[in-house]
Amino acid sequence: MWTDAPAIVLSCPVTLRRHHAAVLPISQLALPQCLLGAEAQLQAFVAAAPAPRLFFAPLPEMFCHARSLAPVWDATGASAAGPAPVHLRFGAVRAVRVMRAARNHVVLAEGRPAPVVTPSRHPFASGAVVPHAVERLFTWDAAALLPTRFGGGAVPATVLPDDMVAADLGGAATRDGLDLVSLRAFSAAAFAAGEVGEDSADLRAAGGAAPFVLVPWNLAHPGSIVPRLVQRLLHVQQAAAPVVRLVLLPFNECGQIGEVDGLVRLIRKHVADAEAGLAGVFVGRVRRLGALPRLRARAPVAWLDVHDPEHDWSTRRLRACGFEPVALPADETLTIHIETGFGLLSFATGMPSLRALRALLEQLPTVARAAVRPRGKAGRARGA
Amino acid sequence: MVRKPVPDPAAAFARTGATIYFDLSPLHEAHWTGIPVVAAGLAGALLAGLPEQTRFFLGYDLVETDAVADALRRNTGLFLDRAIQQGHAVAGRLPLTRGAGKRVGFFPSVKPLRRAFDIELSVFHDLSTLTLPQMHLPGNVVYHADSMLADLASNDLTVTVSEATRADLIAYLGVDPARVVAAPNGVRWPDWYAAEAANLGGPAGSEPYVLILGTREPRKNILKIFEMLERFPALLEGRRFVFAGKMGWLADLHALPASLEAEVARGRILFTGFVDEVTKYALLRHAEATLYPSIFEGFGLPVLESLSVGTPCVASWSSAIPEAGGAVCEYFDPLDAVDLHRAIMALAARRPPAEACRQHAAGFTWEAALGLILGSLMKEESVLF
Repeated sequence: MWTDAPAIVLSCPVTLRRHHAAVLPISQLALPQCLLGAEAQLQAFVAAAPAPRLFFAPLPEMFCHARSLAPVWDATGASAAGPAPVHLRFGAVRAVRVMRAARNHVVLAEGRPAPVVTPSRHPFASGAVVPHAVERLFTWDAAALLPTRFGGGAVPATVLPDDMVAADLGGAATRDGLDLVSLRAFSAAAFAAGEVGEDSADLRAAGGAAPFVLVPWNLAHPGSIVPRLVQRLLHVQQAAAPVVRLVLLPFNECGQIGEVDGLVRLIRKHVADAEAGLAGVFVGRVRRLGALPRLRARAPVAWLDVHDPEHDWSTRRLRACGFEPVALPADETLTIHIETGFGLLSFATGMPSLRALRALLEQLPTVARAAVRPRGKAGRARGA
Repeated sequence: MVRKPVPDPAAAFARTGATIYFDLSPLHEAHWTGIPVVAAGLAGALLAGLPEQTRFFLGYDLVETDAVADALRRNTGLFLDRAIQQGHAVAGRLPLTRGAGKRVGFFPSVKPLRRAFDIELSVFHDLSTLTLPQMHLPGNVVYHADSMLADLASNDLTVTVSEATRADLIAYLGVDPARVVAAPNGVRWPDWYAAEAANLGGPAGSEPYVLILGTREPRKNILKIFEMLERFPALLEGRRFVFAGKMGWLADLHALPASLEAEVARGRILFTGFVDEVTKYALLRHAEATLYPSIFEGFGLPVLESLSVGTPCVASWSSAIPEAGGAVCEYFDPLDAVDLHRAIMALAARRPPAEACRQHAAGFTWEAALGLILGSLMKEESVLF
């Protein structure tokens, strides 16, 4: 692929302060987590297409003038006179960026459109268009509904091979690489700064019968039901005798980790016995894939928001990592109105009613038992 | 088809019998920084080059040309705004009937009116609200995004202040390249600033200082300077670091680290807050060098302002900044504190002559910017006029 390209520059939305050069060899890239979202997709792509010419640019939109492109040429060995490098963008459609003097391609895991209604005139508010200069889309799913080019017209698309979802799995287990902290003890600043680990009083106290369930939280999707799900559960669950402990897995994080603090504030304001409830909900992050067995041992089942635009990719990824993904029922329809940087967005979505939640909890032991049964090589064996 | 440049665009424009109506929206603020400075520069160039063909308006009111000229002399919109509010400077309403010649609406920023004139052009200063929304307040992003497409759709010509912003409009929004022209900003100081600056000392007595000019907001990337000073504290022994500019938004993203608080207490790091234009000029003149680490700029006017007074600049190479800084700036990777330190040391070792800085800046004038805009309009003369 791209045999004439002097370099392939990858990018995805990132928290800028974590990066200390405008372009760096892919071997030097350290992303905050690697289980879900753009970070995982990028890592899987790198594993599937290893090449000495792979680089990462935290802010590709910065390159423009010959003077700013010079570091790209220096780092990659390309030149202004030669063939253009390829820029591969990962992440949400709304966050696609263009790198000047490159062939701009987008790797897209948003396989289903979030049904957004918006009065905003922000050019990219709908999440259904990519910048005009995007030349090609790569999708993980042949059935994915693809965005069009801004100004009209389809963008040529290529479907990526099935096994690419799991291309980076299969390494040895490691002792570290997992962060797990209760909402009560959570600090966005500490979480953003680096390793948090999994040794906390709330975690140690969280023994007993209540199982842990993973809940991926796509921070690039403003219409996520996860904050509402957590609040609903805490409203009905007795903190002293919980029936389930959620482990929120934020992904596609680009400076919005403060949303977790926002959720904590909401819970403190609206939920009775909030502190005890917060102690029983956790925020997790897989920094290294070697930590997957430990996470799997604690929480083999994941509940997924079916309206999340990355639902399909997350499902495939979690299954490949040996988890049992379960689609959250969406029998209670609702519209989420939310002010964002794209203006007011309204998402038609759905979440589990209390009745559906009850049924889900009743099924949990059976699902968890199924999850821990050995599977074929596409399942739990990989990544263990 | 390559169209030939128009030799004297102002004269060619005058021959069309058209009139330019210039929107004063950015100029009724008291303090002019950023976009108001650009608007004032272009308004001044119009008054100098096409006085008979230029009218000014705010909202639906025409504004007396003398009042605008007075504001440009004073370098503030304070009195202009008051005079308009009180009705002294109002010269009638925007015409509702057809005139003898075409009317050209010239909007130096977001258009408060659209399709009010026969021909319309507006200036896009940057697309950072689109490409870097995380560094702006959501309300500001929405304000710009809300008008962006409507402004483009109603423009006969779109003006950008740099090739970088022009390229962004084409790459992101598919704007027809033939309908967007880059007209780089100019720089000009009132004549009396030099004498005033001679009487104003620097903020640090006779001690050398590095000046960092601009509103403190995340895009300006002053966090990278803090990071560099933490890693290379010796830099603070030879010179002070002076941050001039008002506190902007999202302060938690560019807060001074606790490790540098002692340096503020020692006076090695100074924060002046907002400074008026003449003080800014004096600070620029007396500085050893300026530092401009911005993550993303539509142009980078402070770089040009620094060079125009002969003060060299260490600047980020991001986006449009090298267009403003040319070959006389020392550039660095805005994400790399070590590279920033290298650039400062390189400048100290190879300081460009003040005259070379001034000469570079002299190539950027508001008249040249206006000439490019009018030249582009006149290329379309047969269609537009």
